[in-house]
Amino acid sequence: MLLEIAGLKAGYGGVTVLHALDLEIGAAETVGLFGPNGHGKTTLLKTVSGLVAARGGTIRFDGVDITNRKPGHIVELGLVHVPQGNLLFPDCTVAEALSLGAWPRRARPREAANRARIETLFPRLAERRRQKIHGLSGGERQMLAIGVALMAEPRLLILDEPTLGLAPKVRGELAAAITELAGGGLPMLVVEQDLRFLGAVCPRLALIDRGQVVLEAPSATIDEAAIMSRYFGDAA
Amino acid sequence: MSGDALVTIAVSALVLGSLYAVMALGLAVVWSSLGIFNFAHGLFMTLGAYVAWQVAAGAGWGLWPGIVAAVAAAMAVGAVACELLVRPFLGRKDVVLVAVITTLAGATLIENGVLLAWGGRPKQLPPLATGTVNLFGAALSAHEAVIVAITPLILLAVWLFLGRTRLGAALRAVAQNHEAALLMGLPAARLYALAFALAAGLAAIAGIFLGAIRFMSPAMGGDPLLKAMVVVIFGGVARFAGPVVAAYLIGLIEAVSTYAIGLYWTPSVLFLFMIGTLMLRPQGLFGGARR
Amino acid sequence: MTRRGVVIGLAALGLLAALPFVFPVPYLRHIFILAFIYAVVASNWDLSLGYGGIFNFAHVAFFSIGVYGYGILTKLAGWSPWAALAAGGVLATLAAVLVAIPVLRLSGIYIILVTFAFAQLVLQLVVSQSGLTGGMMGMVGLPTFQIPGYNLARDGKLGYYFGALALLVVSTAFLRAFVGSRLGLAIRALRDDPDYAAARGISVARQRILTLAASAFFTGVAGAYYAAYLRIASPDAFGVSLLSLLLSILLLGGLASIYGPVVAALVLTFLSEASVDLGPWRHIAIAVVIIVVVRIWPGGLWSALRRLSS
Repeated sequence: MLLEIAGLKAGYGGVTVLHALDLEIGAAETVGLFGPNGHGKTTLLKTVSGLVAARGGTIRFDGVDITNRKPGHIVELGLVHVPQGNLLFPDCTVAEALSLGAWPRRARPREAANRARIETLFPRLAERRRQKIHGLSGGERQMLAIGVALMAEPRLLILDEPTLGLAPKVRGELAAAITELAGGGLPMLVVEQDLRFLGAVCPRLALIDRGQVVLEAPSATIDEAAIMSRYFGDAA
Repeated sequence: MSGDALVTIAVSALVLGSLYAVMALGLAVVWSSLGIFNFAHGLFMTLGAYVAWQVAAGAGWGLWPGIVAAVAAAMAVGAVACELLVRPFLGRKDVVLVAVITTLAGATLIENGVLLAWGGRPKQLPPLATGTVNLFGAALSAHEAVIVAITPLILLAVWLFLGRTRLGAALRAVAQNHEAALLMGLPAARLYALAFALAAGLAAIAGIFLGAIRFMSPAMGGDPLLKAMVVVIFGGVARFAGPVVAAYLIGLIEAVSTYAIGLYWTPSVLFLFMIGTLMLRPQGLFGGARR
Repeated sequence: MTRRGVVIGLAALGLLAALPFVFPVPYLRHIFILAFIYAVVASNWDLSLGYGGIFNFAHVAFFSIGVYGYGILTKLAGWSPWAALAAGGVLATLAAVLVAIPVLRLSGIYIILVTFAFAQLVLQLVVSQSGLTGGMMGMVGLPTFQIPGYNLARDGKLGYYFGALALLVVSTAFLRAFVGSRLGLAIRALRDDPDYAAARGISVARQRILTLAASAFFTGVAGAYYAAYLRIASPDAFGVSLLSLLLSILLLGGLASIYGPVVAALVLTFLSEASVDLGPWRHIAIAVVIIVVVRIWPGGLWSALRRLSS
């Protein structure tokens, strides 16, 4: 197993968000996470990457216990998290952000190759190399956020709602890129509201409800309409 | 006003501006990366001057080893000060106020530590260069000429470090988005300590500048800190050029004011300039801090 | 105030009133006089800093303005000490209004810097105008209070002891009343949620000026009293060591509690006076105490005690 989460508990202040959550991701697997807002998807990702303290349970990455380790340590191991709506560093340039992405020691040797690969994947980033990040569009910023994560040579990439709030055309571009990455054998854990997109990228889906994984199944077998009406109301 | 007077004012403005630029840049680096104001900054200057004096005059090993030791000692103390006085409180809602209190306490600690170690008797550092230089008819000491000449090089070096190296970019990145920086594996705590160390090293250099012009005392950092404070308010900290341009501008205002209305009223003039700037442009002349 | 609070307050007052007779030691009274004065200064600072949330670092300057106002008016202008005592408060209040003007449009760290700079400016003016203020040497031999037929310094400073105690009582009553008034509520609302308060029609500018002015009056009076008691006015009144002492009183006492700083002033003045012989070590000790307290009890000792007792 690449990622093993067992009995994970976490929360903020007096509020518990994750109640003994279990989830496993296999060696070359891409898993999609979905579920209603406020039920712990983002908290789960933040706990895995070390931003939120775990109050119980364990997280193992490639056999190593990473529960409550520092984010820097976790990134160094190759578990890289792209947070939701990442604004990155408004006053830095695109090139600077990419070079900072290669901060982990194990990513340094392949920095130039990775940069070339990312600029092929997202040609727009190559065009904007010298621009400051605050001048980028939302879609470009999301591409850069993924590119920065790829510079770290991830062995597991976590994406939190990568297409949130983007125009359909840009969404399409990003979805294509993410599918390409998954096809290239990079294991991923993706959170998305758009089940169709998620099902297309991830062979297996997990449903999070009230801080627990309540359903795990191959995406082909998940009855989209039933889940949508159950968890998102009939309007969805 | 005669030509001689103009040259005298210009020279004085350049010397003051250099001193303030080196001081203010350190304050601005800490302010922009941690969002706090470091009241112990003046004491890094004091400490640098005294360590340089100890090595250069006390032990008699010469000025250059003294400078190296002073910068190194100040950087180490700066990093420790960050760890003890500031980092435990980052993320607290009242961090701005708490940091004022803890850095003031840190200043008291260092000032009295210096007093215990070296006593209160005034000391003076050997100058960076001896003799005088004649500039457009005004004689200035070679020491001051060196200050005026090497300050731009120091500023350039810091600018290159912040703008052209990965470490410099990391320092700016962690200032702009702490969480994103953590998720990229940037060591935020060490970068904050680095910001403090860089600032303290610059302050130590300012201390070596000043220690050969005026007499050194444990309280010698107070006045330059105040001027540097006026400079960062005046210029803002959003851009590198802000405090640098403001430093030379404040140096000029001070030189003109000292010549025209005397030393005693100059602080009031600077204060009025600062208030005036804040009333018109609350974030400084060149834009403000993002935090 | 609760009934229990009234009882404790009166008991404490009775204790302090009886103390000089139980322990007729002039030195002890001297320390208490200083402690009462510092308690007034610290608890009034609490009004602007703790209740108002205004990061005002010019408070020490209000105190010094009281000190020098008293010195200059009595010695050079020939005012009666009692008139100069009141004038100290009025001058400090005027200074507070002056400081308030630039502070109105600013927030957070900028307020700290501007008020700090203002205090330094006042200090430099005092030092530079040596014709009026004696410069670095300060003013000595200031006239002191006279009541016909009685010298306040007699009977082991008994008069000064009760004068300072009365000042503390009046100032504390004023602060309590101010904080409990409609104005006090508005000030706290403004501190906790400026946008909401502004939306409800509370004027930021007006509240800030009033808060600063109110916090300055008794601070200035305390400064004048201090000058009359010690008969000197020196630049030390601006010093970082007084600032540190007051800050540690506030921190130990806890912000927005008024009684906290009063109690802390009594404790810390004793510690501070007891350690006068330690020289630089005394300042180092105070600095370490400040850092440790901020680290361990973010709300001050007062709130830690309250939490324990509840």
